[in-house]
Amino acid sequence: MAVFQVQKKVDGDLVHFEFSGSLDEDAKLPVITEKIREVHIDLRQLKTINSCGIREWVKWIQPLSQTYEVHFHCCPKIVIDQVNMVSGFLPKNVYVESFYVPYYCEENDADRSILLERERDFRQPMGSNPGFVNFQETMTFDDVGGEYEIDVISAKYFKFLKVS
Amino acid sequence: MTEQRVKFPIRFKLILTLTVIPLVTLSLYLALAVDLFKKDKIAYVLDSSVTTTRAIAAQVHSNIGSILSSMQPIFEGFDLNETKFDHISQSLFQKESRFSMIVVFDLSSSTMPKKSAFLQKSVAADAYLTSYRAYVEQILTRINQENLLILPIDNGSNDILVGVKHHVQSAQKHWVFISVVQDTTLFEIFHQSDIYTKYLFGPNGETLMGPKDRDVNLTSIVAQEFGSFKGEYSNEGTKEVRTSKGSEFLASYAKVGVGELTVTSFVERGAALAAVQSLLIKSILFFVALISATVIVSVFASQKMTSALRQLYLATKKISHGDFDIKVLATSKDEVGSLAQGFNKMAVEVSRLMSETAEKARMENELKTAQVVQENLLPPPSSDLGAVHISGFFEPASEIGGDWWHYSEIGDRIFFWIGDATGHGAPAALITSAAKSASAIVECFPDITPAKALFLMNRAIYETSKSRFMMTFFLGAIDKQTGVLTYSNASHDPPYLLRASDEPLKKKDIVLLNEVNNPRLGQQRDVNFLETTINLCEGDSIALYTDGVLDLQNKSGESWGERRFIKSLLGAVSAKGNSTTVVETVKNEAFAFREDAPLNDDFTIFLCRFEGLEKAS
Repeated sequence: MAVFQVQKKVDGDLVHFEFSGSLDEDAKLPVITEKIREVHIDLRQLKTINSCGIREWVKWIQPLSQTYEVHFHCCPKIVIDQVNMVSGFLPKNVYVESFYVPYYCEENDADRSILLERERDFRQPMGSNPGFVNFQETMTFDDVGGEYEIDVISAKYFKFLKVS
Repeated sequence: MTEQRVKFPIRFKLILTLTVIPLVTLSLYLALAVDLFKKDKIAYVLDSSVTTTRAIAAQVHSNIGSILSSMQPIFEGFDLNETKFDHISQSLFQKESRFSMIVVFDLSSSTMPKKSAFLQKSVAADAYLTSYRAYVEQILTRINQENLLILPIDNGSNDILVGVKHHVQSAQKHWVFISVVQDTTLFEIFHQSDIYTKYLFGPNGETLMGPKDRDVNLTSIVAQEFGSFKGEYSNEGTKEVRTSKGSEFLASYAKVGVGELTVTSFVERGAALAAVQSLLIKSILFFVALISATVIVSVFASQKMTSALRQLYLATKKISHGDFDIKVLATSKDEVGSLAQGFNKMAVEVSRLMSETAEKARMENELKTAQVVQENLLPPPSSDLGAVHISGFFEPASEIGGDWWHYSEIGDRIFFWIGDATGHGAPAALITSAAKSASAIVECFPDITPAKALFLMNRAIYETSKSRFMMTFFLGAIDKQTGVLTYSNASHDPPYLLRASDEPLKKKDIVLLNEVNNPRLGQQRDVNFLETTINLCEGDSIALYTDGVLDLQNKSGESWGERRFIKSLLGAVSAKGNSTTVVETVKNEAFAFREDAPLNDDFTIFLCRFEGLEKAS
């Protein structure tokens, strides 16, 4: 399995992280010492998460979200699965800015993912404001033939947006 | 396997090699050097000998020449008619101190030679002549062939008889002038005792002069070897001769040049090569000393060199008997020293590995025991509980795993439980044991709800692991009388509710049991778990699984995934098999995808089929 790695960039009162590899018992999640206001984490290069990694994540994100506003970007399916399943994986004050929705074409035996973006395609419920998500059960793409079907159980995948 | 005994130690091989090589090379060198020196010495001796012989021959030639020169004027004063010497001849004869007598013989007669005249210095001349009669007769006999004959009288008198033939053609007369001349010098040359034994030989090889103590064998050999010198040999030369008794001599000869006389010199080969012998003996002694020193040095050097090897040998014997507590002393800075160091490291490593192997074997045994124990934590793979038919399959990724599933009847409800502890292996297995124990307590409460049950389970897990290990968990309870399913989820993969249908089921037909979600068991000490309910219809199936099912990988590292799992599940359920068949089908399809790749996580799947309300009895 690929080793968990972190790229960090501080930009004023924002810190940008890029996580890659496998989130497991050996993953060293970063410590923030700078005086910042927001934490932005790009998760597109995260490949796997195991149960030990989930434990480390929950231990890390809970206090982080109490101190900073945290934004997740380009969340892959493995992250959204845990967001939906594990209580505490996406605590308060943590926002998903964008996430991938996988599609599959049985005819081509090919996968494709589309990126949904906050406000344009979805919104997390906040207070009395309900959440929403705009997605299609099937899609076609200009560059390749065949019909692509959403490769998740919608009710399960978009649950964190509390869309029935 | 019997140990091979050391028959020829390396130490002996070393000593042998260090000794044999110089022994052979020095021996060869010695043999070559001695041979070369010997040849050189022989050549030198022969060269010296021939020089000496040549000098002696020249001396003899000079002496005889002098005698002949002195005789000539005397002979010229002999009146052939009167057959007497004139007064000048007499006067010359008297003055010449070397001459003792001159006799003239007439050989004209065919009968006995007749003494015609003589000169004498003493009155005892006749007596003198009589004493030399035999020699004179010799000369007279031979002088006819040889015009000049020299006959040394080697009897201590130092006299030489010189016979000169004179032929007067006109008178048809032959005269022989025989002079008795004393030449001490000449005799001394041959009597002188030095390294060279000198001989004067006559024309027929007869010994005329030689050392006082003459070697008879040598004389005869020489006579044989040099025989007659007439035209057969050059004027001088050298030769190596051997007597019949085996004595070896280095000989040289030189013709005198007068009277067909030849001077020869002999030197014993042994005497000539005495220096070589001395060199040989000294060399051998030195050689022996050198070899002895080499042997001694070899013994000590080989002892030092092989001591580490011997230690290694003894150490390997100890290891072969299971004793790893050894250390070879490695002081030398060469390959043997490095080998000893390497051996020490190896012994430590082997000892460590053996300890680890023993520990591993012990742990494996314990794991096997734990495996047996864990098997007792699991329910029978399938059961018909009247309203509900349950079938399940579990395979741990290692000997023991962190997945746990269970079903039980508590009052009028069928409880079904599934949990997945953090990680897998022994630590996760201990959590499942805690879960099993907690469930046993929960089952004592007939009215307990799934939420309350999870509350108790959470406390049990928390107290067991103190948040180091957690467990996702799903607990459902089907009321046999009402068909209501109450469930509570602690962050577990939400089970699929598959409604009974005559049509093949599709993905959109899946009802997720994820209306409520709670923290994982053991995450915090006290949690108020939420639960919810849903109505079941006859024929509805609930599929429960752990993430090991979705994460199952093949040899290429590809995951089975949710899509394949759902397709397999829906196909199996749509095929209208019972729960056992469905579970078996899904398991087989999953494992077919996996091939013989090892499980990367525990694999658990079980199915609850609601068979309909239980009629109240």
